[in-house]
Amino acid sequence: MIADITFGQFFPAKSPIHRMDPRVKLVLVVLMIVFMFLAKNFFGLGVMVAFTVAAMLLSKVPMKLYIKSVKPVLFIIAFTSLINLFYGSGEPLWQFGFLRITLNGIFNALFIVIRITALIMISALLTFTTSPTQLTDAIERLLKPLAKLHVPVHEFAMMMTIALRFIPTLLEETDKIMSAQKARGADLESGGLIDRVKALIPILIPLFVSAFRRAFDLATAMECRCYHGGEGRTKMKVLHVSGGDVLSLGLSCLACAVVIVCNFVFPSLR
Amino acid sequence: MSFIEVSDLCFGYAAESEDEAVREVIHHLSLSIEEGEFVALLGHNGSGKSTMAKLFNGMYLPQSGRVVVDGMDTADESLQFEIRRRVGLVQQNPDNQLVASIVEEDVAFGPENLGLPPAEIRSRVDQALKAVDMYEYRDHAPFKLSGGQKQRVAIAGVIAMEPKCIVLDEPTAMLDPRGRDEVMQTIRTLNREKGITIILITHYMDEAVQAGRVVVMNSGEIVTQGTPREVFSQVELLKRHKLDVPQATELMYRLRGAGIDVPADILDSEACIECLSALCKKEA
Repeated sequence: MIADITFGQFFPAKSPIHRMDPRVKLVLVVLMIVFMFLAKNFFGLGVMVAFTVAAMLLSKVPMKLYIKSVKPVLFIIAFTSLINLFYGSGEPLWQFGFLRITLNGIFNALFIVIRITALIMISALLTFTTSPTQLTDAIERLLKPLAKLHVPVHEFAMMMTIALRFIPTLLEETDKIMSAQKARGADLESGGLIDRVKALIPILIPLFVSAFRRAFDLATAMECRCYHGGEGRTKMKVLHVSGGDVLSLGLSCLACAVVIVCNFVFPSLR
Repeated sequence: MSFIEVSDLCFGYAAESEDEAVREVIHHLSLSIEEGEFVALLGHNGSGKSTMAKLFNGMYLPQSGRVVVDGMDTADESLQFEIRRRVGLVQQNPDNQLVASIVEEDVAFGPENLGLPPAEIRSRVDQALKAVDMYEYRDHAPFKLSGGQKQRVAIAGVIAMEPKCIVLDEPTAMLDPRGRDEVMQTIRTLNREKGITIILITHYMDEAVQAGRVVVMNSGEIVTQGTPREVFSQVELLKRHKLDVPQATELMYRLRGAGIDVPADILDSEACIECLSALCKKEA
C-alpha cells in the first residue's frame, strides 16, 4: 500500500531543474497547466508536451517514476476519454444503439488523454524535483504580501511542512494498526459499503490517538528548539533567482505565446 | 555556583477533574550539575525522571523551589529562549521530534528559530551533522533512516543550537541494540570531545554505568547518588526501589550471598571475568 504512493515524493538529484528557484518553478508549473487548458488544438498542446518532456529529461528523475505517478489517475483518464469518445460530432464511423464513435470523438479522446497525462507529469516534475520544505518555502514567500492583510502565511506554511513530514509516518502507522487489527480477527475486506466503513472505526481511533500523542511530542520538541512563530526567523537556504531561472522563465513565456499563436493559426478541435 | 542548580523543587500535574487532587510528582528535590558532567538519572516508571527533563529547560515551571540554569531562573519568562538555547532536549521517540522532511533542513530548524544569518546556519548544520556522523545523509528523508540514525539527527538538531547541556529523555528506549550503541557512542563523544554537559535519563543500567555520576530517583525524590561504582554496590537499596543492577554486579551480589569473597563494585563483564578467573586460579 505504501509503496504505491509516488506522487508527492521528492527525488533528490543534481539537475538544472533541481537547482531552479522553487518560486519560479511553482509559478511556471501553474502557468504551464493553465496553457495546457488554453491550447485548442494538437499543435498548441504539442508545444506544451514537448516542453514538459524536455524538462522531464533534464530532471534526471527516472522515467519509471513519472509513469508510476500517472497510475492513480488512470481511471479518471480512461473515464473522461471514453465520454469524449462517444460525444464527438460529425459522421459516425461506428454506431451501436445510442453509442456512436466519430473521427472528431477519437481526436477529442486522444486530446484529453494527452492533456491530463501531461498535466500529471508536470505536477510530478515539480514534486520530484522540489523538496517539500522548498515548496512550502516558495508558497510562503509568494503569499507573503497577504501577511499584510493578517493572513497567517507563516503558520499555514509550517502546517504544510509538518503535514508533509508526517504523511509517510502516519501511513506506516495505519499499515501497522491494520495488521494488528487483522491479527485480532478484524474483517476489513468483505461486506458492503456500510460494513467496510464500520470496519474502519477500529483503525481510525488508534490512529487519531497516536496522531495526538505525536502532536504533543512534536510541539514540545519545537518549543525546546526555540520555535516562536515566523517573527525573527531566518532561513538556511536563501532563495535567489539565477540566470537559469530567467532563461527558463523566458522559454516558458515563449512556449505559451506559441500556444496562443497556434490557437489562432490552426483550426480548433471542436 | 553550579551550571544547573535545582533547589527544593516541587512539581505536580494539574488535576484533571475537580474532585481529583493535584498529582505531586517531584517532592522537595535538590540537585546540582556541574558544567561538562555526564549525569545519568535513573528510576523506574513514575519516578518523576521524565518530568525532570522538562523542568531543566523551563518547559515545565516549578510550583515551589527554583531551577537555575547558568545563573538564569527558569521561572523568568523573558529568559526562556536564552535557557532553551543552552539546554537542549532530546525525547524518546525520534519520529515525533523531527520537523522537516529533509535531514539538513530539520537540523537547521533550531538555528533558524534563533534568527541567525544563513551562512552561520549552514556551517552549524554541517558541523552538527558531522558531530553525530550523519553528514552523508544530509539530503535524505528522515522516514527512510533507521531508528538510531533518526535519533542521531534529532541530537544534531539540538547540537546545531550550540547548547552547553543536552538532556536526553530515554533516547534509546525505542531503538534496537545497534541503534542504542550508536546513540550512546554519540553521547559519550559529545561529552568527552566537546565538553557538553549530558543529563541522560534512562532505565537501562548498562547505560547509566557509562556516566560519571548516577542519580537514583524514586517517587519524586533522590534516593542515592554517586559514581556508578558507589551506586551499584548498594544492590539491596536499588532492588527495594524496583531497579535492576548490571548483570555482572548481580552475579557478584549472588556469589557474595553464597558466601564467596568477591568485590561488590564490579560493573561490567570484563571486570567480572577477570575477577572470576582470578578466583578460579586461587581455588586451583
